[in-house]
Order: sequence, then structure tokens, then C-alpha cells
Amino acid sequence: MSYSFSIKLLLYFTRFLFLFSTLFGLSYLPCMVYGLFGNEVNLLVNVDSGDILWEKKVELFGSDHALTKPDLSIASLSFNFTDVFYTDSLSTTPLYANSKEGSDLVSVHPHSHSKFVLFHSLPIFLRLMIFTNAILTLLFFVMIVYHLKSFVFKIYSDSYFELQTITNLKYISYYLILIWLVDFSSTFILSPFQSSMLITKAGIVSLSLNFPTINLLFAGFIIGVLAHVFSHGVALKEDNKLTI
Amino acid sequence: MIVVNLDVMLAKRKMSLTELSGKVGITMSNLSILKKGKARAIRFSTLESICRVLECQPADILEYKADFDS
Repeated sequence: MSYSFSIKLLLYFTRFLFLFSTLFGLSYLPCMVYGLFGNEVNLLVNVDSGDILWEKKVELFGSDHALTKPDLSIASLSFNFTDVFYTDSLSTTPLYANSKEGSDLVSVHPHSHSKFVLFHSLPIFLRLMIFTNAILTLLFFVMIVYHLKSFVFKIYSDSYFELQTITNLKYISYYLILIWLVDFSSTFILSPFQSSMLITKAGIVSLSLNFPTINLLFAGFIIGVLAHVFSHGVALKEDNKLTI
Repeated sequence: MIVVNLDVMLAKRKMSLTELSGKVGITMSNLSILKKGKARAIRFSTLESICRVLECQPADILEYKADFDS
């Protein structure tokens, strides 16, 4: 596979990714706003991570086992194949209300590592926090993909050392760090409420403090350094251009 | 600063910039940059070509002037 072909492939992929993420965001936004006002929507919140997932229950192996279709988590914007097992109590009764009454620890499934709660069943302030987190992450992600698309197009057009290329890289770096900051701050803000979502019968509060991975932060820093290196490239290019 | 006296030599040899461009093999835009003093550097090969065509020494084209402002 030649280099130019791989760049072209990358260009098409980034264009597709930008279109997809924009359309996805536009289609999810009304659904989340609808759920924000307490209306019933098929949105689940992962109690541990604060991610929002759209679920579609698909009966595959009988009535006691439901495997979701590939779902797209808004907050983390990743594709997950998730085994989600429901109990009737989860479907019909908000987990938060259950925990207030000190009932059994409502896990989605005894063997599942994922615990979900219906988005619209959460208290309004939690809904607002999770909604803000998701919207900001989605917005920053779309901006990252937009600048990445622009950057790859510049590379494809052989405009390696241009000011616009450096600007694209800088914005990608900023938005990556911003996404990490949003994730980081929401983890600490949500963690006290995560524990209140999971109160066992014995009244033991389980604290779940998930420290967000610093992959995004490292990626942001590395791309920032790359932008700095490219700026020196621009200076060298200018010198070369003015060398007769 | 280094001052490029290309137009002086062109006048002495009664040659136009276009003619010099064709003989030396440098584009008009680059020669214009050189003539206006906006060039950051000049290659020896370019200087050699210009001196050969204009039948002069590098000192006839390049002159040093003390820049008191900097």
C-alpha cells in the first residue's frame, strides 16, 4: 500500500468520522434533552463511569438473557458490546429510589461488571451534570474530528508546514485536554452520588471512585509538542523559501 | 546588513532582469526577492552563476553596511 493511498484512505475515514459524529450528536441531542426533563427514554447511565448508553434489548438466547445491540456511549464515545441483563425491578423502578429505601443492591446481573440506571430516573441535578458532561464531551469530540479532518487534508495536499496545519494540531491538543478535564472533574463530582446509587441492604455504601485514564491527557500533550515541532518546520520552510 | 547591488551591475552590463533570469536559471520572483534585499540567504552556486553571467566579483554584488538600528 503506497503512502499517498494510505493518506487518502485516512482522509476519507476522517471525513466519514466527522459526518458520523455530527449526525450522531444531532440525533442523540433531542433524546437526551427529552430525558433531561424526566421523560422516559432508552438511555442508561453506567453507574461506575457515568457514561450514557442507548440500549436496545434484543432477545437472543431466551427471555432471561438479553444481549444489547452495539451501543454507543455518548460520554466516552466508544463502541461497546455490552451484556446487559435486566431485572424487572431495574426496568420499572429507579435504582436511586431503591437505594433510598435500603433495598437489595441492584446490580444488573450478579455476574455482570456493568451496573446501569435509567437516565430519566435520576434526580434532576444528576441528570443535568451527566447531560452537561456528555454534551461537552460530544462537542469537543466533534471539534477534534473536524480539526483532524482539516489536518489530514492539508497533509494530503502536501501543505505540511503551514500555519493552518499547526493551528489544527494545537486545537486537537486543546480539545483532548479539555475532554480529559471534563471527564476528570465529572468523576469527582459524580463519585459521591455514585455511592448513593448503590446502597446495599446492610446499609454499606460502596464508594466507586474511577480515576479517568490519562491517555487523553498524554495524547493532548504529545500532539501539542508535535505542533511546536511543526512551527519550527514552518520557520525552516520560510528560510528555505527565501534562500536563492 | 548585506546589501545586494544587483541592479547596479545590471545597469553596468546593460542587461535586464528577465535576461539575467533566463541566463542564470533562476525565476523572476526569486531574482526580485534578491534585488529587493528580502532574501535570507544565497547559495554559492547561485552567486557563482550570477557572477559568471555578469562577469563580476561577488564583492561587486554584495556589500556590507553596518546596521546601527539593530
